[in-house]
Amino acid sequence: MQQGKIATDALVIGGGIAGLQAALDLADQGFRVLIVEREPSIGGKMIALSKVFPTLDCSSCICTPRMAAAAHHENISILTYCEVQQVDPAGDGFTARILKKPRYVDEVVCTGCRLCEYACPVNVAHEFEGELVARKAIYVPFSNAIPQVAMVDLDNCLLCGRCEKECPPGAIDFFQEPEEVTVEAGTVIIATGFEMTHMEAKPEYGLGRLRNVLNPLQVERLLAPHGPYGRVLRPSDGKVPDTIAYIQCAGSRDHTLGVPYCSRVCCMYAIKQAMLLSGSLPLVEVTIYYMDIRAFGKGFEQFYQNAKAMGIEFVKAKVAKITEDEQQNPVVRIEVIEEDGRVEERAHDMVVLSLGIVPAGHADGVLPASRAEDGFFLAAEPKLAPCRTDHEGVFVAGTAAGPKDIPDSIVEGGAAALEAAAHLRRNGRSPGRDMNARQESTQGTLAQQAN
Amino acid sequence: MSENGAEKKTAKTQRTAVALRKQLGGAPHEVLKRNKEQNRLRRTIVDAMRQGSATVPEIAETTKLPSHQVLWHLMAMKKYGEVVEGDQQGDYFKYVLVQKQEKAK
Repeated sequence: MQQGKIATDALVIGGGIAGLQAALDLADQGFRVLIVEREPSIGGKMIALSKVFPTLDCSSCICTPRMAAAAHHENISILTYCEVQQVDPAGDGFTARILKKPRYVDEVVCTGCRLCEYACPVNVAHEFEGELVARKAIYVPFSNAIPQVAMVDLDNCLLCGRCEKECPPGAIDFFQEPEEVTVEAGTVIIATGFEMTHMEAKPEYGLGRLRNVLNPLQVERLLAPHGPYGRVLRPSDGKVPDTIAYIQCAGSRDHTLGVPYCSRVCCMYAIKQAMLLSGSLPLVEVTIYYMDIRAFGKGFEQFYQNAKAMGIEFVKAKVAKITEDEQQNPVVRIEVIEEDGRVEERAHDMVVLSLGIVPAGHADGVLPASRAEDGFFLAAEPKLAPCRTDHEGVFVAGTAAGPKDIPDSIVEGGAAALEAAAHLRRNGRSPGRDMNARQESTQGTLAQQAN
Repeated sequence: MSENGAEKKTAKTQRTAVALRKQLGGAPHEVLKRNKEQNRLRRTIVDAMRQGSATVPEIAETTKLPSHQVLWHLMAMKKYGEVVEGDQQGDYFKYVLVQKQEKAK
């Protein structure tokens, strides 16, 4: 295994919107920042969203410039497709062990032309598109991925060599090896983000079993102009849906799932998606089955009222289970709470489960910060310093600290950067030092990224 | 072509994929099996579409394949330029094969 070493002022773990904001704010002050991202591209969950609430701005139009700014910033280095194996305190800073997984494509040489992708004969479900469409065994992760570099999914590769034959600059190397990178940093910002609630504990909702029951990230892709179908169709047979239902609190406020808390964003993203679906399918009827609508943020209540005025139906009802009729229409069994409490079964063309937010990231002990009972990173002083963890010099931003929306994640990214900068200054690290002399990478890729 | 470019071309012909396949004693059996099955499905769908444009349920009926599989393959073919979307017929869109000569243009 090849080995490399990078010295930096700040290590930001996670290249989603919170991590990018923290990195940019530190780098703009002159501190050297290394972003480590587990996925093949930076951008996190936000880059997969179609639009954001309550303004309905294009998500990609906000996120892509941040990604590009970080990628081109002279004080920011980015390592993608990496696994943080261990972060330990060392002196007044930290040492991190990072495994850079092989893409089997030379990141410096690849131009992102995708000729390899067109030549590849293997079709694999595309994770970024909610598995609704195929990608190839060699592929650029998505159209605005940064870095715009192909990678090989070796588990699904036939090793036929067609990609290598087509690659104009000869960037493909099936003998590429993982690289272990040691990072020395003065401070660490944890921005590891979230996952959607795992629904294995709720088989009665049929996610993964019933083809027309979708998770909300799949619907984001359906709504994206360059999404899997190029329009909104249901996955069982390509029908343009006439009726779509949302099941609120499908993955939150539920002790049986181990998620007793409110995930804060589900009401608003369901309303946003309902409005966008109404816009792209003028004849569609959208029903939202809910327990409470929590529209607490700036402009949220007006957004909710606008949705009602658009004709989106809100039904206060608890969904017991979802089955399927002969036409593969999901049938929801509900108790109509606000009327006579009767139990009804209603068929829809498509059902979306408004899943909640659960912590993502590393096993306990990998990062030097404690987690709270709910699994999110613990803020030692939640009122006075919400970005500080219980370990000095380690800060947390975004959904790694708990469920929150995009503006709050960006605010926390900025706050964590400010706390981290103050910590670095207290330890005698001033911005603007030339760190190049301390970098001892053994691989061209790393050398280029760190310079 | 520059000298560097020529070196790259030479390197390219070494085909590391083939070398790795030889080293491993062939491609993984499961991957080969899955790919063979996918090719069979794809051929069945393409054959059904040679008659003209068709919706997903129509292709599913002709081929006796599950409609979700037909959609998945059609969308993959659409993504890589082998199929285009046609007119809407009721609740469904029709899909048309792209002729090879057209693709070459």
